[in-house]
Amino acid sequence: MSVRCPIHLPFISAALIAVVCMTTAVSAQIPSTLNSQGVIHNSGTLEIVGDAIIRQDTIGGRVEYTRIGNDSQLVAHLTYWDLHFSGTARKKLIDVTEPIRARNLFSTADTLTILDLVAPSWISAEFTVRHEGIVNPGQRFGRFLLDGVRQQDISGRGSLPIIELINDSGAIVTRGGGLRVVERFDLQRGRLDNTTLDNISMLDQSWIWRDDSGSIATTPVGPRYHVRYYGESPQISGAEIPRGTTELGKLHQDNDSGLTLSSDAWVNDSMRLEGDIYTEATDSLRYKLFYVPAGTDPVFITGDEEVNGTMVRTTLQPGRTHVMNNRRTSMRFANAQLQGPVRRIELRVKPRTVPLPTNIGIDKVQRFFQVELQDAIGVPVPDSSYTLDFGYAWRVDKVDSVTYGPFEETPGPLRNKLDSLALERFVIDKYAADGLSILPTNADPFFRYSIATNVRNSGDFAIGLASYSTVWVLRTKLILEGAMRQYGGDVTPIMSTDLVASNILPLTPPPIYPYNLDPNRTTLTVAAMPDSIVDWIVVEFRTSPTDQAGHIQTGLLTKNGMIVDPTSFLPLPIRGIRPGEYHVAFLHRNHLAVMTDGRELVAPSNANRFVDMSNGANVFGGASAMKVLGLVGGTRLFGMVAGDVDQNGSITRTDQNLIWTDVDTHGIYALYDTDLDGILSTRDWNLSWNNRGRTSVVP
Amino acid sequence: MDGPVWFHKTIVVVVLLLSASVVRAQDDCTIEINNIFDPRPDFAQFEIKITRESERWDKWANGSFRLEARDSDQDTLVLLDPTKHILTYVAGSSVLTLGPYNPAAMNDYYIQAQIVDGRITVVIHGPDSVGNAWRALTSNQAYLLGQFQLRTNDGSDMPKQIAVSALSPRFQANAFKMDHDSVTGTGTERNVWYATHDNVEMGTTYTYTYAESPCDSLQVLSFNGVYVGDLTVALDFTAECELGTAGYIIERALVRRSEPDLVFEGRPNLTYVNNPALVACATCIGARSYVGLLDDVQYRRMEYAYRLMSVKQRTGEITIHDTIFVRIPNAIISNAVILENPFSDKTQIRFNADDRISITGMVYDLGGRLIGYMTDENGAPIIDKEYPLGAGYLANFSTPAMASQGLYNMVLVAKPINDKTVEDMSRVIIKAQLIK
Repeated sequence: MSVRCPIHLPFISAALIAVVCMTTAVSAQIPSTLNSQGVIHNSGTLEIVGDAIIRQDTIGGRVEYTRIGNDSQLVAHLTYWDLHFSGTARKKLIDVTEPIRARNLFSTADTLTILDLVAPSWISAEFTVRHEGIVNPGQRFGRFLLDGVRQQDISGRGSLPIIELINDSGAIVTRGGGLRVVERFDLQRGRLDNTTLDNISMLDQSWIWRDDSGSIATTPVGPRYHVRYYGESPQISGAEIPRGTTELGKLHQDNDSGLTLSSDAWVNDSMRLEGDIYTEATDSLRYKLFYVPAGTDPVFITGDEEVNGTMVRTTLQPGRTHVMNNRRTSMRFANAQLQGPVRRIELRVKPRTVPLPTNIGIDKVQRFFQVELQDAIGVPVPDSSYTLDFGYAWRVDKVDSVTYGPFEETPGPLRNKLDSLALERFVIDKYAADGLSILPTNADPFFRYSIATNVRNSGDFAIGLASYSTVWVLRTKLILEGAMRQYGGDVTPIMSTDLVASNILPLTPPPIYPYNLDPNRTTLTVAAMPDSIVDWIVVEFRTSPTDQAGHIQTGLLTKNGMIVDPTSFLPLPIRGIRPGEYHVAFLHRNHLAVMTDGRELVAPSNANRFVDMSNGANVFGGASAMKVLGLVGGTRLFGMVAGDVDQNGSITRTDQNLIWTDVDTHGIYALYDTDLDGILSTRDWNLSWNNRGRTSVVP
Repeated sequence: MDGPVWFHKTIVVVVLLLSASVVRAQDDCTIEINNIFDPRPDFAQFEIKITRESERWDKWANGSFRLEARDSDQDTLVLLDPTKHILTYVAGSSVLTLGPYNPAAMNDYYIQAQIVDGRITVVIHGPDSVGNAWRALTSNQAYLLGQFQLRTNDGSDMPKQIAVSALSPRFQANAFKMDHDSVTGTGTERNVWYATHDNVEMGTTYTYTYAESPCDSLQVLSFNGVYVGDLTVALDFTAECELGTAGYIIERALVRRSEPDLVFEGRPNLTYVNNPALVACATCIGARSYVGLLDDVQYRRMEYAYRLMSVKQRTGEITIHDTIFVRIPNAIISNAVILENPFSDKTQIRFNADDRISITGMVYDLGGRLIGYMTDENGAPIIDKEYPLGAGYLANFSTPAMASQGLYNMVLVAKPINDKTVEDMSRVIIKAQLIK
């Protein structure tokens, strides 16, 4: 039943009216007001020609606002079932206290149907949308919410300033699409199911906002629009990023949990980061972030954001510093002549990554740079055809990272040399200083940084110290009695890792003997101790058995007897030592020290040398300086002798008394814990007792 | 093996195979942790026993034993507080020869028992020389390494279950003493694994048992009440397994037929708070009798209900055990009966006194003339004689010579001593036939 209702309804207290409006003149539209203070029960169609003031919250059936003319029609803000607008009179939606909701259908008739929606209010469509009209023409405000619970069907060629998708079931574009977005489409929750045939149009300079729970299936149509990411969970980019090179204007990354690109992205207007952008989902799935603007740089809001991966700047200006992957990483050509043929800079920056090759890069800051200077179409230009100022930067503090947690990129020993770390480039088989790094380096709360001038080559770059390079890698096998729990016949030479399991192994070697012999002790910090570690151990290199001023390094002893670097957990690289022949001594906090009988050649040429301290051979003082712990395949397994808790090189009653004083304690990193299980008991006493009278022969 | 599994009042065995030692791993030894029942709520006791299980050793070196207290009801770990829980070795309980700790050299054993990190640690240091080591002469026999007592110093409850710690097996240690050099192979393959006097960790099985309480809960074996006259009720009861019981309370209610619900009230003299005779023996297991509990009542010809309750020491929990009923009689003569009728020269009347009464026994002829007084067992005339509550009293009558054959009225007149409900007196009149 259709009822035309240009009438005034007096106040009706608790009135129940099945049909309140009777047919009046159909042809003549009489401006009047539908003023209902009661309740209208509508199961048919209520056509309103005049203004509407309706007090009730909800009305059923279909309600049509149809006024025609050059004047306006006041629309009541309440919840409708079906809501339809038509007619040329501007529909005024001016109630700031209530939105307008359409539970089933929201429709507008044609482009002559214009809705004026005040800024504080909004329209909420919970199911079907058929929009051919215009909301707030010429304005960029006016929110239209798709906030139902079922998947919503939206169509029409009308325009809306702001659409917000807040529906976990999403919305589907049908009937050829064509809906035009003036200011933004905000994908808060749910997926917008559009296709190239059923698509939406993003008007010029409009935005797509994407929360971490929203998405869009197909790239929308539009000459140039902007994209903003926000939310709290890590996001992966999708179809909102245009595949073309000109459509994406601004890129705002406001999700501090990070955004990972799933395609190349071309930013044409500007870029702002309040969270990291990762251009590589995996090492083999790499994309690039192209940054086109010439006169503006990316903006890093707090200063610690980065583009983790590859960034390409495609418009270069001589004399201008081009900020690259983070606030402190930049490229600059002093003038056009020094720019040479370069028209693009492609820079791949991988934070917390050992520069390649890792066996050499291990001595460097854990940040890898790959630079390629290109012409206008991306073809690499010859080296030395340009001169570049390379602003390099790396993290110096344990800045929390979404990807890695708190980490420090500077290897321990380099932390004493932060001022002196220079840009280096990998050439043939090693990294060497490249360009002229301006030293000392500078620091801000997030980065240590400097500039290397006169860089004239593309390639792999790192940050390091020329004098800090690996001379030799110690490959050894060393067993500690006590940590080796089995004795006797056919044993498996695996030591216990109870200290790590109990979480009591210090992450930095404690300031006790022998670790305090290492001048770099305080720089050695392990972020997370691997579960295969037994204990810290000191390696000393002596030119003669009595030379006690030798080179000292501290490493971590693994359960199978390897000594590894505390940073890389690879076999211990020996650095800062003059190549030569050395006795190698091994010092532990409560075991008798041992030393190689012969001198080991500590030099790169002796790369494959394996120093086996578990077979009793090549031990200073002979095999008796160690202890037979068992047989491995019929061969004796030797270990360092446990129980020297007073660290004087002899195991006496004093050692046992010291153990007895703390025999009840546990859960601490104790000298008296001779079996390295974190528990003091008569076991520890017995280990020392059974070695009574033994003395280290290492001077 | 995972942590121990607990069963209330069930022997629990935890097997921890520890310390593979020279050449091969094997079970050399069993260590038992036995809980000893201690009825005192603030005490707990346990013992550590060792059994040699192999022929590989007989001289014991030393050991570390980490134990923990567990709540009996919840079977949960209770962390002990060394400022509150006191752990001591029970002197003389060990088979070991004990002496002080000597940093220079140890010739004896030394026991160190402490509470560390909420758990019990018993560490026994052994002598240096195998010659001074204690020898487990017989295998499969449990020897007592020591008995230990735990108590609280504030009187609070002590957890009763002491178990092998559920922490890492590395917390336990148990070693024997080498009495010879352990050598394998010869020549270049000769290996000395251990030397004489070395201490070698043993493969050990650890078991523990919970000591069961010999009884479950307080049992009241009997509860009696009897009227003893003079408006006094005497109560007594017998109880056993009074562990943890503070005392008893007896409440009283007057039984009114019109009010089926009994309204019990406390009696000042029938609570352990006021009456030491009602204080329980909180550490006693066997039966104990509580007697001589007197209660004054008010009303005669009424029934009183008494209910017996016990109160728990720690919780104040009250348990009602039994209710009895005692009827309070009037102070009258009752059940009077003549024993010989007709009679010739003498006769007797047997009667009961339902309470303390004053009795006069007279004999009248049918004309109402007083013939004589009845006499008591001593031959004294019964004239205002006081009889306490009792039964089977005898009043004698010897026929006077002048009495002729015929009917006589034998009258017992009882006057109550303290029964205000009997206004005057009670009488018994028995007609007796004298035959001459």
